[in-house]
Amino acid sequence: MPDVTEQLRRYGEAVGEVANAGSGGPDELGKQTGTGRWRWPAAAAAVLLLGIAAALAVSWSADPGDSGVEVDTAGETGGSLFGSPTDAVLVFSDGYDGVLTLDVDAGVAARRILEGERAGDQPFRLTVVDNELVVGWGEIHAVPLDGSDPHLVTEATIYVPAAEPGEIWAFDYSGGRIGDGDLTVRRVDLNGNVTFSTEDFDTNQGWPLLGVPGGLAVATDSGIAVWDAATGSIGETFGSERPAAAASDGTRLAWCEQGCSTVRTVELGQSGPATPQHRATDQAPRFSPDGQQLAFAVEEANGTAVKVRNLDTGTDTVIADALSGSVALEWDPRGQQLFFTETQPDDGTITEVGRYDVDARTTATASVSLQGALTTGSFVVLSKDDAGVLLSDELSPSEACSPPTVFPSLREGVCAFPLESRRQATTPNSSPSTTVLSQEVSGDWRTLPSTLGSGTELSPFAVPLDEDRVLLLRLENGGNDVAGEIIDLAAEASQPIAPSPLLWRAFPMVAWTGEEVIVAGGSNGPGIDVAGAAYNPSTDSWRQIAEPPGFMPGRSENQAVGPGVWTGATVISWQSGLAYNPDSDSWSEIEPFPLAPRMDEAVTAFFGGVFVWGGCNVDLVPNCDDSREAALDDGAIYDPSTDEWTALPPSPLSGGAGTVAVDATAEGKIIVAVPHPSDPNDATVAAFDTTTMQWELLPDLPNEAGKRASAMVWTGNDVIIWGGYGETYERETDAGFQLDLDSDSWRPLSDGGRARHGHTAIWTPHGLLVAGGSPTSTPVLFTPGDP
Amino acid sequence: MEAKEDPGFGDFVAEVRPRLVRAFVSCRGVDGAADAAAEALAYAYENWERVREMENPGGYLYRVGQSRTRPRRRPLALPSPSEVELPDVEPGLVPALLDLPETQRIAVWLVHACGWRYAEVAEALDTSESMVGNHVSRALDTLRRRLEVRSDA
Repeated sequence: MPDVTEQLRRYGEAVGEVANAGSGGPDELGKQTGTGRWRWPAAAAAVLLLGIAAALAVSWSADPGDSGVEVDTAGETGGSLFGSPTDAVLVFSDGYDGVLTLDVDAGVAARRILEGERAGDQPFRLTVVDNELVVGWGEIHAVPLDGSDPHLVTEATIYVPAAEPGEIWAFDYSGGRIGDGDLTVRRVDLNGNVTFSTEDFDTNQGWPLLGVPGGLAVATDSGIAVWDAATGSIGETFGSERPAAAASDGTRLAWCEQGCSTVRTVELGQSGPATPQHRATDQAPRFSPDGQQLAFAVEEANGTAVKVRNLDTGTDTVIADALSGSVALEWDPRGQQLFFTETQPDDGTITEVGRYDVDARTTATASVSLQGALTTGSFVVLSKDDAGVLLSDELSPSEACSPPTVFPSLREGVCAFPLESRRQATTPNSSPSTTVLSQEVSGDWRTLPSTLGSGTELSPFAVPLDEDRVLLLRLENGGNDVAGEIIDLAAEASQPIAPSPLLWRAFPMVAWTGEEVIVAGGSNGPGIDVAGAAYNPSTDSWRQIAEPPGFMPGRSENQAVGPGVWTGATVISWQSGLAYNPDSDSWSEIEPFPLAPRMDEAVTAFFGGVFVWGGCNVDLVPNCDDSREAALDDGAIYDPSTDEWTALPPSPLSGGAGTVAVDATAEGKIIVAVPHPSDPNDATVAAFDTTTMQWELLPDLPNEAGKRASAMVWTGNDVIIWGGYGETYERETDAGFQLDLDSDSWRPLSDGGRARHGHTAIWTPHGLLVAGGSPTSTPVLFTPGDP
Repeated sequence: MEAKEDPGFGDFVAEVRPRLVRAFVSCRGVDGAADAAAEALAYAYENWERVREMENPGGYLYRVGQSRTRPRRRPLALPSPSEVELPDVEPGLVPALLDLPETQRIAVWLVHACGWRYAEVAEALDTSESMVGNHVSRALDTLRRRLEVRSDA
């Protein structure tokens, strides 16, 4: 094989031929797409800032702030697992001869034999029916929680929880085993009284999942259906695949598909009481006792996540993620807490117990090592009073007890063991995941007249001048001088503004002061002769402004670069560390940015300050591109009155390129979105309160939203994100979504915009104006209709 | 003299365009290289009086083309040696090239795959010839290590 240099030569020659074969003829000489964006100055400035920041590292440090995360790394024996009382006891079937009861407040685990509990692969092992625990197969027993004697309910092969109060469904095969012999299906109360019986139930048409009012939810090959006991018929099938488990609150049925990546609910034809708490062999969603929320565990790339869906709004909240093994979950009887466990399937060891506090919106977890013949870790939750018989005050002396892993348990009394646990964290409520309502934001799209043409123009500048007029500047302008126009949205007319004295440029500082648009610096590769100018629309005139420090005519470096942010007195370029004062027509240096240099960051003004967050580290990946390792999830705010930067507290968002932010200070917040997150499992939208310096998660961006080079605006009430590249960058999208902060949900904008990336969007009294971008830059206006 | 009046501009394009296209492959890929070259030559057309006097117009126009075209938003992709019918080139060359830091990749590409002089590359990268030498040296070390070949092989 030839040396590398020779291989490079041969390869370069061959690839060059391919590339040249694809190039056009001489007509391409006149092509003026002007899609460039000169990044080197920004990167160079950022690198310079990094050096300064490193020099200041001793005197400056990020204040971690109150992240809401409290970590106790010390192992504890006994004592509360979660640090605050729960008044809840978790009861697990041990899959052998009894139950393991976990008092999470006392940090004690106890084992006790239950009459009728026996090993086997029955679908339901533990159900709470009228304050009694129902267990067993072959012989179904009930164990009163008030300490009364256990009793036989009925002889049946298996049982299934019923929605009818105090009753269960008994499935009895004449051969004693599932599928062996004739089947008789009965509904019986806990005294064994039969309230319904049939021999016509055909499990081939539908396998019983659980009881619902008037019948049974059954799994079919293609979905889920309801068997009506009164008619003996199976109704309409819902879903797209055979479900493994289901839940019912008496009015709705919920089940999972595709590892719970899809959770479906359907209204039941008959309503009635909720199906009681039960412990099955399969995972299933869990309705809260008030029917307002649905908890479910979903398998994701980094493990299993536990989510809670608000059934009114459809909003999902991630309360825990990255769990391994089998995850089970259950609400407490009052619906104030959701408990979940992580169990290792190979040996049945419960390794983590968690609690989500609904009111506090916090999740606490504790590492444990609870061994036993626990097949999946599923459990029921009882109040401490109700579970007294399982914990009992007849505790046996510890020397009389075998460890919880040894069977059988003591027949008399209860063996309790202080539980060694490690409280891990109390984390703030993590991200509500995506909720997209089907009801779109209706409105009209219309193309606006433009004197500037429709050629590609990345990131033009646009600002509303009054109720009707918008000023639009093309800065790269296809390689021609900077040019602009004023579009009258009411008259649907456009007028060019006075010619500018500026050569085209990419990435300049541009900001509207309320009187003028300041355009300064930037880069155009060949070099810039005039550093900057200001346009005044009231006089339709330009004035040349002072040169920024270090400006050298004909070169791109050492100049101010965008973005520019107007803070009320000066235009700030955080990238360059410069401020321009239009009153004095002078420049000054500002305190250097204290964090890593970056691009594709989210920048916005707020209350006279500058907010900078995210982007990607240009020291690691100079051109950013699609790099995920360089994604940044930190930021800082700049106060021009003190010339100081303050680091933001750790954010709950994923880092990622293409971050955008809008000033929603009418709501006291800055809203940040990460359309291209470095970790797809992390949150993508949050609001930052610059007053309290705290983050608040918002629903994730819809999957269909643009991934890069999209634009986000604040309407005064809502956030809209529109356009950008799709997931693969193969094509631009015309998808737009509006986030309603009242309902924490996204709604799609009606179709009609023209797909593009790299555009600018602003909110006007006439609606959403989208201008510039590629492959078209034609301005369009979306005027919302009635809500 | 403007480009449209100068017969020499056509000769310039005929000479420079293939070189630019080949050079842009390293940062814009095969698909984007022609566009970047077209942008650069459009600039040359408009500014012919200035460009014609340049010592290294290729390097300068490389910078122009790079700044006038959209940076990559997708990972750079290059055809494998087999796709361009080069049995004597290691299949691992392309992934090794793509893994290089961008400046090193462009430098080694321009010098060894395009045959550019250090002075032209220095103009293109807006750096010194010695820095070009550093980038090329480091890139070759990395490529040889990745491909496990020796210069005397």
